[in-house]
This record gives sequence, C-alpha cells and structure tokens, in this order.
Amino acid sequence: MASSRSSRTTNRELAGSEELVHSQQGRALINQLSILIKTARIYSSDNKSFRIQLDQCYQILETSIAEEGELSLQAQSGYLFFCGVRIRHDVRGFAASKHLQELFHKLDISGFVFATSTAVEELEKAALLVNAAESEGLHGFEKLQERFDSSQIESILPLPLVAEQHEEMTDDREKRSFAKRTFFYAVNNLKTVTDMVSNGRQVDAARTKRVIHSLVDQILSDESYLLELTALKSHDQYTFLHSANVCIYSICLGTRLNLTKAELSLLGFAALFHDIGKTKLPLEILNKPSNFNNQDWEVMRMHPIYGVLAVARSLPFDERSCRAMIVSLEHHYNLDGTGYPETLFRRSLNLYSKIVTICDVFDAMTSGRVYRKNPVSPENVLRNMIQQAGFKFDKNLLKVFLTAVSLYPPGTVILLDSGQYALVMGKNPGDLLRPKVKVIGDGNKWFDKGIRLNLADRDPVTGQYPRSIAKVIDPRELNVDFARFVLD
Amino acid sequence: MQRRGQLNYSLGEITAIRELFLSLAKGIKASRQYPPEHPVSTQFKAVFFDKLKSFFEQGEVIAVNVHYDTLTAQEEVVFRGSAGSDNVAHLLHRDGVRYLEISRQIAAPEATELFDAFLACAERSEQCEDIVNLFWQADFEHIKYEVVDVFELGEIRELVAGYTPETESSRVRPESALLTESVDESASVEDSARLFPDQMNEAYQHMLDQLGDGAGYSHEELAALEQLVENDRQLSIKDEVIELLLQLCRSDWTSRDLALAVEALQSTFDKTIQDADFDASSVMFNRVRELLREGEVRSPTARKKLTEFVARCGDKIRIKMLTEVLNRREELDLEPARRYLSELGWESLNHLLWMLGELSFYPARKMVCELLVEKGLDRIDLLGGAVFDSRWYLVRNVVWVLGETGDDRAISFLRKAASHNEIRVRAEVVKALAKLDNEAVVDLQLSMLRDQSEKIRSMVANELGNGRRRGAFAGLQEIVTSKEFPDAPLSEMRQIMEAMVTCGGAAAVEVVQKIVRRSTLFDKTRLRRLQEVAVNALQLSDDDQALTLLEKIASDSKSHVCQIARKALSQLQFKRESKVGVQS
Repeated sequence: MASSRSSRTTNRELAGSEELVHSQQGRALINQLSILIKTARIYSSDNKSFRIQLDQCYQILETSIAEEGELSLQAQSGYLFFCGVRIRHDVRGFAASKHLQELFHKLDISGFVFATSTAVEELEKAALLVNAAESEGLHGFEKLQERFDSSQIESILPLPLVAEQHEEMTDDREKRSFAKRTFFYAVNNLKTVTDMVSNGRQVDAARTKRVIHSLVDQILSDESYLLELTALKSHDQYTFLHSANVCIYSICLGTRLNLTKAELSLLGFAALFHDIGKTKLPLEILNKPSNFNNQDWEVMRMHPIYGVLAVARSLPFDERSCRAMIVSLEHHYNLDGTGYPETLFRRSLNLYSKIVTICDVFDAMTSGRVYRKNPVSPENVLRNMIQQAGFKFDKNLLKVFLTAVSLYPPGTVILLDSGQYALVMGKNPGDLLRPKVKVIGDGNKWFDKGIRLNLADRDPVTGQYPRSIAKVIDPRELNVDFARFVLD
Repeated sequence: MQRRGQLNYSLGEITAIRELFLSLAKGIKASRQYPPEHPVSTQFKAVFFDKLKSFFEQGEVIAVNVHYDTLTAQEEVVFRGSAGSDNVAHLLHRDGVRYLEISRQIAAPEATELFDAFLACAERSEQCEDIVNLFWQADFEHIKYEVVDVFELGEIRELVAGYTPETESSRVRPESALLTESVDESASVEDSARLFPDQMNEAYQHMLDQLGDGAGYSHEELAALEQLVENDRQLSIKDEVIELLLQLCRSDWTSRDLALAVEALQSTFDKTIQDADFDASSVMFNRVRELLREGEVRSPTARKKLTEFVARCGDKIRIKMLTEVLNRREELDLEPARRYLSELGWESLNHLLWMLGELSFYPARKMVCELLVEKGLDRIDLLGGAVFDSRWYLVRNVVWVLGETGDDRAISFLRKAASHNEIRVRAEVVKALAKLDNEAVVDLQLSMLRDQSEKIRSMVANELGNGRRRGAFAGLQEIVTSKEFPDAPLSEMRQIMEAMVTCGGAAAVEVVQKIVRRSTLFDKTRLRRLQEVAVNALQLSDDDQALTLLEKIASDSKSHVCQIARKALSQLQFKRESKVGVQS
C-alpha cells in the first residue's frame, strides 16, 4: 500500500516539471526541425550545412526521447502541441512554428510521432522526403505514409488531421460537453499548478486564469451545467475535485452578490487554490488511513499557512495571488475568531474567505455522503451549517448559498415514487421540490447510462407529475459507481 | 458569434482598416518605450482612435479573420506582420484568437483598453500576459472575438481518465474529518434519508427562516450584503498580505517553518522589485527593520533570519534586479526607487556604485549619483575607491559625486582622477574641485594647469578665477612670470592672467605693473601680447591699486597698451559704479 502511494506521488510531482520541460524541448525541436527541413530544400544530404543541422536536430530529439519516451509534434487549430502540451512561443519562435504548421497543412497531416527507436538515418530520410513531398505538391496523409513505408522509415510516423471542434454550441448536449471539458481542464490545470508549487517552481497563471474565466462565463450563462459536475467525487482525486467544486460554488455565490466579472475571476482563483497548502504536508500524514493523533492535527493545521507561503513563492505578487493567500490562511477561521491556524495575524475575515469557507465545508461534508463511513446528508449538512451561522459562517452569505444549492444539491441520491433511483443533477428554480435528475436504475438493474428527467415536467395528457421524490437515500445502500452517471 | 466574412467592404474601407492596424502596430512599437501615461503613448492611442473613427465614417463593423501572421478582411490582407513584437496578428493568433470584430459604437476608453491589451502582451517573452485573458478582463462591449481554447480541443475521455471513484467505501478522508470537527457527527443520513419531500420542504423553509426572512431578502439583509462587498472593494489587499507575511515570519515556529516563511517573504520582496513596485519593497524592508528594532521578534531564529533578510535587501542580487528594471525604459517614475535605495545602509554602497556603472539611462544615473552624495558622505573612502574603476564613465560620475559631497577627504581621490586618461574625467575633476571649499585643492588645480589638454587648462584657469582663491596666487604668479607663458595660446593666457588678477589682489597688480614695465629688444610682439593681456585682466581686480595703475597707463598715450587700459578702466569703473548702485 505504502509503495503504491509513494509511486503515485512521485509521478504527480513530476507532472509540473514535465510541462515546463516539454515547453522548452518543444520550442527547441520546432525550431531545429524547421531549420533542418529548410536546409534540405537548399542543400543535398551530403552537404556540410545539412549534416550540421541534422546532427543538432537529432541531438534535441535524442535528449527529449531519453527523458520523455515517444514524442509527438502535432498542429491543431493553429496551435502546436508537443507531447500534448501547447507550445506558446514568442515572436522569435514564430517563423519556425508558422513554417511547420503550413507544411503540415500542405501535406494534409497534423504532425509526426517519433518513436523511441528513431535513428538519425530515419530523421535524415524523413526530412528529405517531407521536403520532396512538399515540392511535388503531395497531398494526403495516406500518400505520405506510403512514402514513409517505402523508405523504411519505421520510427517516425505522420499523423492524420484532427477534426476541428469549435463550432457554435447550440444545444444542451454541447453545452454540457463543453462544461465537462472546462471542468476537467480546471482539475488538470490545478494538478499541474499544484505539482509546480510543491516543487517550488514559478507558476505561469495565464492558463489557470483562462480556465477560471471560462468557468465564470459558463456560470453567468447557465450555472446548472457546471453545478451538476460537483456531484462527481473520487477518493484518488479528492483534493482536486473538491477544489474545483469549491471554485464553482464560490463563483455561483459571488454572482448572487453582483460581483463584477473581474472579481468573480479573483474569487474563483482564490477558491481553486484554497487548499494548495496541503501539497506541503508530509505524505505520511496526508495518506494516513486511521484517525489523527494530536501531533498529526498540529501538522495538519499548518496547511493554511503552507498555502500562503507556497503562493507567495510560486505566483506573481498581484491582487490575484494576494487574494489566494488571504483565503488560504483564513478558510478554517470562523467568524467569531475561533478556528485555526494560530497566528498573530487576526482581524475580521475577508469576504472571499467567508464565501470559500461556506463552500469548502459544504462540499467536504457532502462529499462524504458517498464515501464516508457515516455520511451526512446534504440537508443535514446545511442544517448543521445554519446552526453555526453567526459565529462560524456569515449568516447572510449562508442564506445566499442555501438558495443557490437549494433543497437537493447536485449529487443527492433519491428514490422516486416509481421505485427507481435517481441522482440529482440540478434544481428547478420554480419548484425546489422537483429537481432535474438522472434515473440510474431500479435497485435490481442499473442502467448503462442515466436517463435525464425533469421532475417538474408534467404529463401533457393528465397534467400530473409522472414521478416525484419519495425519499433521500443513503448512497452506501446502493453500492453503485455514481461517477459514470455524472459523466455519461 | 456570427462571422462577418461576407461583408462587402469598399476599397476605401479596406484602406481604412489597413491604416487602423498599421497605426496599432506602430503605436505598440513606440509605446513599449514609454510608461502608459506618457504623452507619446497617449498620442499613439489617440491616433488609433482617430483611425477607428475614420473607418466608422463610412463603415459599420470592422471584422477581421486572424491568421498566423496576417489579418484579413473579406479575403483581403489588411495587416501582415513581421517577426517583431508589434505583429498584432501574431499576438492574437498565438493565444487562440481567430476572429476580431469592432462595432461602430466603440468609444475612446474601450479603444484605449484594446490598445493597452495589445501593449501588455507585446513583451518579447513566452511568459508575458495572455491576450485572451486581457480581453476577458476588459469585458469589452463593442469588441467581439472568437477564441480556440486549448481545453476545447481536449478529448473528454483523456481528461476524465482517473476520475472514476474506487468501489471501496471504507476510507475516511482526513480532509472531511477536519471539516466535520464541529459538525454533529451523529446526524447521519439515517436521520434524514427517510424525510419525505413535504417534510424536506418544510425543513428547508425552516432553515431559511432561521437565517432571516424566509420569503426573500429583507432590506437589512440586502444592505448587509452590499456592505460586505463594498468593504471588500476598499481593501488594500497587497498591504494586508505584506503584513501577513511579516507576522508569519515572527511566529514561534520550528526552524524549518520559519525558513519557509522568510523564503516566501524574500520571494515576494524580489517580485516587488521585479515589478517595479518599489513602494512595496520599501514598506517590507522598513517594517522588518522596525520589528527588529522594537524587539517584536522574540524567537532568536526568527530574529537571525529577518536580520539576514534585511541584509539581502541591499545585496548585489537585489541591486542587480533593480538595475534591470531601471534599464527597461528611460521614462520611469524614479522617486519610489530612490526612496527604497535611500533606506539601504552603507553596506550597499559598493553595489550602488556597481549599479551606477550598469545603468543605461541618464535620469536613473542622475538619481543614483544624487543618492550617493547623501549616502557617501560617511563613507568617502568607499566612494572614492571607485575612481580606480576601469570604466571611465563610472569614474566621471563618481568624481561628480565626490565634488558634490564637498568633503575634503575627496581630494586624494580627485588627485588620482586628475591623471585619468579620459579627458571627460579630468574635466569633471576640474568642476568637482571648484565645489570643494578648501585651499588644499589649489595645488591640485595648479598642477592641472599643466594638463596636456588646452581645454582642461582653460577650465582650471576659469575655475581659479571664479573661485578667487588667495592660495592660488603664488602658483599662478609663477606660471605668469615663467618664460614659456607668453608662448601659450592667447585664450589660455588670458584666462590664467585673469585668474591671477582675481586671486592676487594688490600683489597681482604689482605683477602686472612689472610686466607692463618690461621691455625687450627681441620679439617685441610676444611681449606686447603679454602686456595687453595683463592690462586687460586688471579690469577684474577688486583692488584700488588696479584702478590707479589703469589710470596711469591710460593717461600715457605713448604706451601701446594705452587704448586697452582705457577700455579696461571704463569697464572697471562701470563695474564699481554698478556695485555701489546695487548696494545703495
């Protein structure tokens, strides 16, 4: 058990640095590959200039392969991706990047894969062949592939074109699909940033900002698509999913306070990173399966401070990161001054901290409803939170939150009067008793895919509601993988 | 968004769009040299807006498709960029913008924001700001854009891999446990799962009632929420964070945690310098010193680490960072940087001198020189050491600083600089010596009258004259009465003679008298020239004997210097009368 955990962590720790290395190596390869192909256009293969460029290109390729294994260089929608990482170049790299993208376009391919066995002779042949194909006006992935095959280039493979996917989102399905992509991009981005922070690296927040902006836009347009994803829980990815959920809940709450778009972006950013300090906690405590002793708690209670220090070290010193630092410090402070950690820095809580605290507690507690030994139902979580309004939580903000998540928050498992089980996906503002659900089965048989149902829809003939909620269910009773229904 | 590719632009409209983007590119290129509020920048923004207005006199919408290095309107290339930071097509395309549309209702502030967004991401670095983020933050009303976002390209299958939950449900998350401390654990799902919808609704309404007016929000609740937001907007969040970091650094923690805290403080401090936020740098530096001075840091480890932090604030690494920032552009508000640097102790003096040699722009060099005058007073030895530097321009600046200190200890270093190969250094030495109110500088000045450069000799003579240093008289007399003196260039001869007359009083008049009396059978022209110069110089004397001598020579019509004496006399009389007039 211990070894599997540590190996998982090692991989995670590597991910952040991988991205940085990818960017550097990617830029180097793009530049050198472009030079090599251009040189092949002018000189024959035995020319000294060509040999020098070939050697340099192979050297970069070899180094990258040694570190990363198989490499891919692919163009899509005007971007170049190296091993799946988008390469953002400045004007100095622009000519090479443009050249390769135009070349790929002419040849009707999206790029190349370089296998670990790539030899310098193959790179040479490929450069000459690609150049010849371009001159001849050869068009089509299959034709190029044939040429590669006949030239016995086995370790470098051309890649077919990738379908473009940026048409207008018109229907519900597309919006839901876009919400999913944004949600998981947010989660993956958080992972990358977390890895970089835990390794003490400087983080470029531009990508995170992009994804937060997209979350804000989607929430402002229709929050239901993202809110339903907060039902997704996972042990392995708990911290990341939880942080993404807190981010979504916080933005939803912020919209109800009429925060500006820019403020919502700051709030979302702070919420997404509120738990970043946990990356600095010793693994033996983070992964401890049993209850904590006093010493463990003492260490655990340092995570808000570690969050402050990590953000201070790894992010630019601007309003965004300052907000994140304050929220990280204060997200376990209570309104009445109690809570942790113990510091000399205590004054009235920041608005964003008050918001994130509410969302954090709610999501953490309701996450337990699927996995905890003694899960607390959403209704009971809210009831408990209300009991603490005024001294733990801000009363007015809690009320705003309560109206946002409503009676049956996403992820609540219910039994319908039809005898079928369903997972709540979102609320109907006009009828809080009749949420939107996914019917998942009848207890004996579980569907492959959940069936979407709006409990507020009446039968057009009888005018009656076909189904109603009978009761809230303890999810443990069902032993079902709910995630697949959330994501289907 | 509906693309307007089908718009039918007239030739005039296409030309107007071309001019618009060209003005944008030019504006970006020029504005990168200046701060945002600089007149040059403002002027380019105005030109850009004029071009926009000019288009909208004929057209309704500017719609361009963005390609790798071109912008096209209706298939016509309206902008083609090169490999420069002013390539607006590249700046858009790089971050995924594929279409841009500007409608005619656009006003100047929005156009300025568009301009500023381009400018902010035009840095030559991969880490510079993302234009899509800037567009988003600007929240344009009359500008639309279409973006291909990276996360739109990802396959959901790949992204969601690994998010399927484990089937076991026995583990308890520590995070959940942490959050449930104060929540009633006994309230398990069993208590509520059997609640029927009506009861649920009742419970929900009850909860809302508990939080106030269940039917909606009361005026008080709404006012309280608005107040929360308003108060938050008044916060100075950066100041709060600085205070927070300082508090963390003085907590009673383990050595490791304290090291982390001070490291974070250091990192933040460095960023304030890199961002040219020198006021924040000053606040951090001063607050730490204050905490240490007032004994508010109890832990010896914390005290030690914070003392080291203070030392690092003015070390070479930080001064180098600051130098890089000041070298970014000439037009920069230097006052905050000056305030910060002035807080540093004498330990930083050497680094400041190093900085002086590295600064590219005159205003920054001037600022540092002035600062060194203040800081160097107590450490002339450190300051003066820089005259041995191999960079002549640094030596020249240091000579200026030494002169401004007015401190006698500077003389020995100025003596060294007086023999510098570079004439510009020696010229600065002459000026510096004039600022030192000490007769000891006279020897050095007199020795510089023998400088290889006529310019320097002339400058020294001028300074000696202006300075009216009595102590210089003997030396000047020696030069004036030397055999070689009549061979000196006329202007130099005049300046040295005048200096002698100014410094020497009655004794100098006697020297002139002797020169005038001198006669020779050989090379009369040479002597005459000397005598003319000597008589003419008398007009600068304050001594009454000069007046008497001039009257005597002027009345001797046979004398070849009679005319010169008359002119000098009238000048001297006029000067004296003016002086009396002013006094009365």
